[in-house]
Amino acid sequence: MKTVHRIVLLCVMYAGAVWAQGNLEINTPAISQLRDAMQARHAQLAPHYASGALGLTADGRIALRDANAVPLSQRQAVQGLVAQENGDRDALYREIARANGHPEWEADIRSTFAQRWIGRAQSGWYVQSGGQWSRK
Amino acid sequence: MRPLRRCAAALILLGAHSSPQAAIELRFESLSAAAVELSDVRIAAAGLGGGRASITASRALVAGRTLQHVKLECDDFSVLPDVHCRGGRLSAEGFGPWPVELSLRGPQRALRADVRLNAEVTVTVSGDLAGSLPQLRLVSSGLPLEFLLGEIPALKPYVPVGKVDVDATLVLKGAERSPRLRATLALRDGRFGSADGLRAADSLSAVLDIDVQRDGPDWRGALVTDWRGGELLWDSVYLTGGGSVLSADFRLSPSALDLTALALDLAGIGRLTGDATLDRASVALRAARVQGVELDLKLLNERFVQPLFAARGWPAFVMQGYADVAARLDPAGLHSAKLIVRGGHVSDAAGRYSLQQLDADLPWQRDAAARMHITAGEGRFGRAPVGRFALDADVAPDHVAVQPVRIPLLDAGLQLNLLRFERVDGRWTGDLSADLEPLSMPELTQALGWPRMAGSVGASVPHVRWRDGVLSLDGQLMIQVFGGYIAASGLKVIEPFGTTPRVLSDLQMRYVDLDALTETFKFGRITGRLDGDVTGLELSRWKPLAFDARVRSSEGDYPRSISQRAVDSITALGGAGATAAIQRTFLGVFERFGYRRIGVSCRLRNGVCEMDGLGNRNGGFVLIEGGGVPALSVVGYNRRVDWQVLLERLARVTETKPVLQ
Repeated sequence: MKTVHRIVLLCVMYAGAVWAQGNLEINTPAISQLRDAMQARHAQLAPHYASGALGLTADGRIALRDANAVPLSQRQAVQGLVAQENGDRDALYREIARANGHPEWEADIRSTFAQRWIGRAQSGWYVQSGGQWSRK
Repeated sequence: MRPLRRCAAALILLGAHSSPQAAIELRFESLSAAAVELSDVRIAAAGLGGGRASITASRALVAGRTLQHVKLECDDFSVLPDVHCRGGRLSAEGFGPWPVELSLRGPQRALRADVRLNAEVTVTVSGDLAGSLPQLRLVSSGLPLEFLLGEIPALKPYVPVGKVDVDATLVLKGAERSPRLRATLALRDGRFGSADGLRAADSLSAVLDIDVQRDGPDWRGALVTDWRGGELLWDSVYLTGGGSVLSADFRLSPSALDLTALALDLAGIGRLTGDATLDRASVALRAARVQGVELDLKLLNERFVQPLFAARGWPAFVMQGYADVAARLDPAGLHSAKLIVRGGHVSDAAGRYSLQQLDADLPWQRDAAARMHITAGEGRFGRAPVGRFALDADVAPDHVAVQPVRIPLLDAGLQLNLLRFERVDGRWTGDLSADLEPLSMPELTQALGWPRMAGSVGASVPHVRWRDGVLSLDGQLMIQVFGGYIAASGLKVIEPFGTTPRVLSDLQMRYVDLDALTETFKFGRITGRLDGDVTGLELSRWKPLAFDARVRSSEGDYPRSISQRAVDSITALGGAGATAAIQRTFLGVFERFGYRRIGVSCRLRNGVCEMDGLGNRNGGFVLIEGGGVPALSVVGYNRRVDWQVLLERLARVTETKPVLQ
């Protein structure tokens, strides 16, 4: 068992080492466009994070966790915003992996970003962990 | 007591000894009247002419709903001369107690019962229980919707609430006393919501008119539902304002609900008609047919299609025209459908791509192939007009095959040799082969609003595959242009319809006539031929991220000259402080110069173009090597040029916007 533990530990360290070489802040025209689009959309999303309608998922996306917190007339529009935001987030992780020259890093970048988004979430926002929602 | 038609034989007069307070105790195994059945009924009364009484039934079946432990207690109950219950309290398991006043008078057995559900809501039941036409009328205002609906499992997750004004009349017809119910139910301030909030309604107002009568073991009748106002969200579709009317004839048997002459008037869109059969217990659909004629595609798209697309982050498109629809459904879902479009117009939201005068006959079957036929009068592909064409396609659940077709484009045509989609292991794949007939460049450039170009352009696409979101080209895409050709190989378009479409390709350019090219872009005139190679071209969102490009004059014998303006243009591309080493004195004297070779390369990385030329000279790199008389060489010094800046300079010297940004 000790050997197994060592192998696992080595793998984790190796993943960390690989990761350390990646540049999450890398910029390309595509990344810049995605960031701009997400930033512009954030003003529309922010009140829904605060109300608990939207939450940050463990896979680096956002989810409509309680549509009841959104006025009925706006729920349709919020669904559209969520779809757009998730499209941009998925594209962002893919682009950063590609810009680093390692498309296979996409899953790692996604999970690092997921932790980062959750870490930066404001108090009162809902975040997901282990399939469960909790209020920060 | 005629309405109590079936009185069980077990009527037992027990006497006072069984209940210390009651002088009389009656027990009925069952009692039934119109739409009411009572089981195990006990009446305990102090006497027939007044005093306290208690009437209980272990079970009551009222209009199809079962109530347990029904109890009516009266402070003052009499049977003679008339039946009355004063100071009554009615209760059942989960309901009441509600204050009740009840009387039954005269030979017609005229009933009047007032049941006060709460301070605001009273249900009044009045009518004649006996006589030639027994009838009962129930009137109430503000009856809770949840009370009316009861425990319908399919509705429970939606927690419906609201207030209903009810005016219902029950008549017992003929010798058989066959019941007929006519009712108007007006819903006010109705709302419901699923737990996730994606199916919900608020401030709903609607009126239901229903006329139903007993027919053997069944109930048959007609209903009209008029949605008058409020908001409704059903998944992604949000409707407001009402104006939709649903009407149907129906038959409710012990096993099924049959709806016939079903008509749904969708405000502004048109009318859907059809019939349907639902399982009574599960409310699951057994079979249905729906058809609609002359439906307004514009409103249908805006209210139902666009919201579904938007919720998935898909781009919206604009539709106009009219459509007929027909569909058959069975328990497995859509069995077959047909859409006929007349005078349609479809375009993307920005209006770049459009098809007009669209007529389409689009049948679809779940278990078989069907042939679709589409004709388009005209259209636009970008700014290029598309002519009339007719398209046939064989469509089955797991494949779509478009028959070869020629689509007129400007003065030529796009010949679609193969366009096929197949579903393999649940994933759709596609294959395309096409040829673009030689198009007149003057017409194309004019249509695109570009500077006028001479010659023609044609292309051949031998085979393009669509697999897992990637379009990839087998072989070469050949574009004949400016007397030479451009060939693309290894072409891949990754997620062309996604957020960040990405293109990978290598390009080869051979023997392009510089005269035609430079004249077009007001660059100044260069006579000669050009070859070029671009490797590792990578576009993201249709903008270059990286490439290694090298262009040079073609091998062979042909006239080579360059105008003074072209020299100015080339030096201007170098930017301030990076002018070419040219002898200005010559420029003033001659209009045209000879050259031997032209060569320039750009390696684009991170927004910067690293430039090089034919070779090094005096710390710079040679772009044009002079030859003949008068000869002129152009040398560049600035090896690193910002790509965006280069594009801006190019736009300035050609007095046009660059096509590639």
